[in-house]
Amino acid sequence: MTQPELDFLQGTLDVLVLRALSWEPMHGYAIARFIRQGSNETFRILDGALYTSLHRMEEKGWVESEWGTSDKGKRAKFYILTTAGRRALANEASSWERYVQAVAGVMSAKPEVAT
Amino acid sequence: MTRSPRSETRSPLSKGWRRLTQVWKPQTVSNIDDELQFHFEQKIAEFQEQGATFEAARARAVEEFGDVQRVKMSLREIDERVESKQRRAEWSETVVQDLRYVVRSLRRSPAFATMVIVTMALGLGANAAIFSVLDRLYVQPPAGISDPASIHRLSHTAMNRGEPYVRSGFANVETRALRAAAPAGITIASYSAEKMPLGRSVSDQRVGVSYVEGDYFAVSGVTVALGRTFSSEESGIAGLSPVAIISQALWERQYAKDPDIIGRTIDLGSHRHVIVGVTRGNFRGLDVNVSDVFVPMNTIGIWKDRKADWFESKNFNGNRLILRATNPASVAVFNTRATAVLRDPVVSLMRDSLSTTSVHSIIDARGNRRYGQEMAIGTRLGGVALAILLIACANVINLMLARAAHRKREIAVRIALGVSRTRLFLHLLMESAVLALVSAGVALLVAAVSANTLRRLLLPDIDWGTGVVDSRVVAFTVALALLSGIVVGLLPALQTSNPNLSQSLRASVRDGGGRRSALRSSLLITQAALSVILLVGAGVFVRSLRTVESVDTGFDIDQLAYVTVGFDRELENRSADIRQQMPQALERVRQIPGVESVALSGNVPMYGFSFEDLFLPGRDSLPPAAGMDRILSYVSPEYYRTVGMRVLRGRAFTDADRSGSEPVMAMNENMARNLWPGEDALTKCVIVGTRESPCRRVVAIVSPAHFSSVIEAPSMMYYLPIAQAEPGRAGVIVIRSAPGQSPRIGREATLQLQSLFGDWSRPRLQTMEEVVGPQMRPWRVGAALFTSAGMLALLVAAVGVYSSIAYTMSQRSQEIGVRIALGASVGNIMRTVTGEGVRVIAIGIGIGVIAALALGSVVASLLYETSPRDPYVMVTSAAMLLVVTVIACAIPAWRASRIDPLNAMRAE
Repeated sequence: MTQPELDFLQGTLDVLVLRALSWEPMHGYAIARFIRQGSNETFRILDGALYTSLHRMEEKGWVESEWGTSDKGKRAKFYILTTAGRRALANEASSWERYVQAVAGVMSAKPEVAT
Repeated sequence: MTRSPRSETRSPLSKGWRRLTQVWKPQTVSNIDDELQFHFEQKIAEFQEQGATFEAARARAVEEFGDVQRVKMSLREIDERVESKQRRAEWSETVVQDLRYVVRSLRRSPAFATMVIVTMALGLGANAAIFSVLDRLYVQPPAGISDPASIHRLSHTAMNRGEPYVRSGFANVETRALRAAAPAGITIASYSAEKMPLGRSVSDQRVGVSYVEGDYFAVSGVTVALGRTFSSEESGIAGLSPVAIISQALWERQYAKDPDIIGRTIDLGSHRHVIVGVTRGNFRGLDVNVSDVFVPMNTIGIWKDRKADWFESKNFNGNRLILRATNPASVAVFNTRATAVLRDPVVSLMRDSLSTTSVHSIIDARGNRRYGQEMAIGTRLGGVALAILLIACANVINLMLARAAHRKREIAVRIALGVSRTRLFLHLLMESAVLALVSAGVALLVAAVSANTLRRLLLPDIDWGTGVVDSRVVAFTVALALLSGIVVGLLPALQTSNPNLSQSLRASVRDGGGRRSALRSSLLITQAALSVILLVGAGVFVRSLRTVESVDTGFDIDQLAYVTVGFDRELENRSADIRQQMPQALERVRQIPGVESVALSGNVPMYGFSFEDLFLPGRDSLPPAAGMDRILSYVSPEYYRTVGMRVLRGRAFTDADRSGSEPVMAMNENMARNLWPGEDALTKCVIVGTRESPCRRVVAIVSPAHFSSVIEAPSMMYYLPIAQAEPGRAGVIVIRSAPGQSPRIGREATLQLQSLFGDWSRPRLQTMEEVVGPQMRPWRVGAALFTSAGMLALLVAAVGVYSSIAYTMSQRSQEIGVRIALGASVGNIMRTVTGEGVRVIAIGIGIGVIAALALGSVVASLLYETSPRDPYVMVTSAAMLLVVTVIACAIPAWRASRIDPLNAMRAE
């Protein structure tokens, strides 16, 4: 059932959502599924937090929303990445990469002999 | 795969859908519910597919979601913010669209737009110009002072010669007594201001100088940016402190912001001051007339060549008194005490035990009677400007109604296309607002020019220190423009966007009626009435000016120039030289080609004057003079001939009337009648000066001359030979030349005298026009300004009549076509059309004349011996407007009568 979840920072969630939307417009449920599968089920994000993130980014102008029809023929709200969102993703992704490298560097480092 | 919603982006359908949902419940709530419902459906379906029961699937979906209610609430908050942002964006998008449409449609009718803009700009410009001047005079406190509401001026009202006299100038003795009597919390300072040459040479550059006493800067609330303010010793009146503080404006302009300015010197004429400070901010003194140099009042002792205790003299009494109050209550206390102080005859200049003081605003114009007449003209002009704006607005409404009728097809098409009436109405209103704003821009240009002219005309000797268009003028003009724009746009917009009205309009045109609507007629009547009022105003001011100009002052004003020789201390030191060389000087001037006559006078006529005590042999006292003094002039034998006076009886002075010969005098009839009613003055003598002086025989009765003003009660004047005057009186050289030659001849004389006496003598020229001109100015200014206002009104009204008739003609072309076809002549049609126009205008003229009669009292005080209800002026004004109306009607009527009847009938 519930596994220990990684504590998510708001910014991190945003990057993941933007990344999902960089493939194609999606509704919230699809985004949640994308992130879960992309992380091999490592990340369990509360779906509520995901929707909050989406609406916040809509306010910031990173994503736009439109009502459309899902593949099962149901009315669903789709989110689309805007130009500003694309730019934000590029920025966040590169700083995220630096962060990962830094963490990896520390994790693999050995202490030097003190002088 | 999900279907991309991109194809739906901003499609009208999706917007329509959105609007539809909005009708039923708040859009945000419904959208969030829909979105989450979809989520949960998907989630539950997913878990059910994995084999869970519906209940278990639902529970798990909720668990994975988190606190549903809380998330919903925060989503709603976010979405509401997004929504309102979108609405604002959509709204401004609509406005921009509408604006574009308005601008395009205006550009398609440039004649209409130009007409409206020019008319409105004139009306608004006149208002902006007047506002600019009145705002500076009446509303804005002096620049750079802190807490202006706590600074006050003092004035004193006492009876003088039977009339209340208000003064705002005080003697040092009074200032000292007032300061001693002031309650705690009141600080007092005094100052006087004048223009001084900046620099040592006789240059044209002059600078405003304030002579300050007491805590002038503390009272004004002004600090220094550099250096220091005056010490208490320097601020005192008894010392002699040649120091100066300059304004930041002068520091920037004259000294290029020299950081080492402190300790440098500044020359005011021949007097050198050490600069000790530069004031902070834009402070330039407390008067509308700016001061850039502030020096201790005690320095007046240097250049006015005063006696050691000059500052105790009551003759030195031109100091304005200012006070700062830390609390408002102390002001009333101070005023009570000040009244008591100035009723004391030992202290006060005015011997009036019932006199009162009053404390008023630091804004000079509110408490100063000095520029009373100019101020009164200024406020009346405010009314005139509003009238012009009203005329302009009426005119523009007419133009807009005409345009609206022309556009009825366009409007009908737009209504049919589904443009809402509200939007259409707002559109039309926006059109007039856009026109008003463009007009405001043009009006500010008009104001920039005309307000400067107005300043120069109204108060020419004042250096205002600032430009005429400031942010307040801009705000005023834009606000007034928008207001007029809405007023002007409202009626036509209502009429046009209202379908019933436009239908009736269409119908009336089709059946050939096309009668001028009641609305348009009443607009024309209003215009005519206002124009008549302004024309009558112009007429009475011109008549009043004529009357003033025809006043005989006793002097040939346009032919006289005066030159004074010597200055300050030099005059005293060299008076013997001057007197000795004077005959030679007069001869030199007489030789200048164009000079008709030259004389000497003790004072500049109608400017300076002298008094002496008079006694009659064998009588204790002189007859009462009815509140009038007997004024003395020292004159040379050629004086009367030179200034244009005549000897009525007896003989003029001759060269034989000199020091040592028989003491003689002359006087005017007025004085002779007062001293010896019913007797022959030529047999009498008068003792002048002290009782011990010899009795002077009256040798002539001369024509009356004015004492100081163009408009004054007949005065009593007497004349003594200048050769018999006290030694030391050098006199003023009076030069008579052909009319209009005075300035040129005067300059020539100045050069001759300087070469004769030497550079120290600095001969100063004044033409009599310059002496009397300031007195004539209010009359001239009133006439000039009201005349231009009247002409402007006439022009605007003429354009109004013309455009209205021209429009009616275009509407009635079919009817006129029929008439022509039925055999009406050109004259017939012109008579009919013009007659209709004249009938409407005549009603307006009637109303205008009645209003002018009623309003007469508003300007009565500004007129000299002219009735504001002058029948001649009334008739002339009415006639002028009628003539203009006939012409304005005749042109479109003539054009209409030349249309081809066939074409006209086919057109509709």
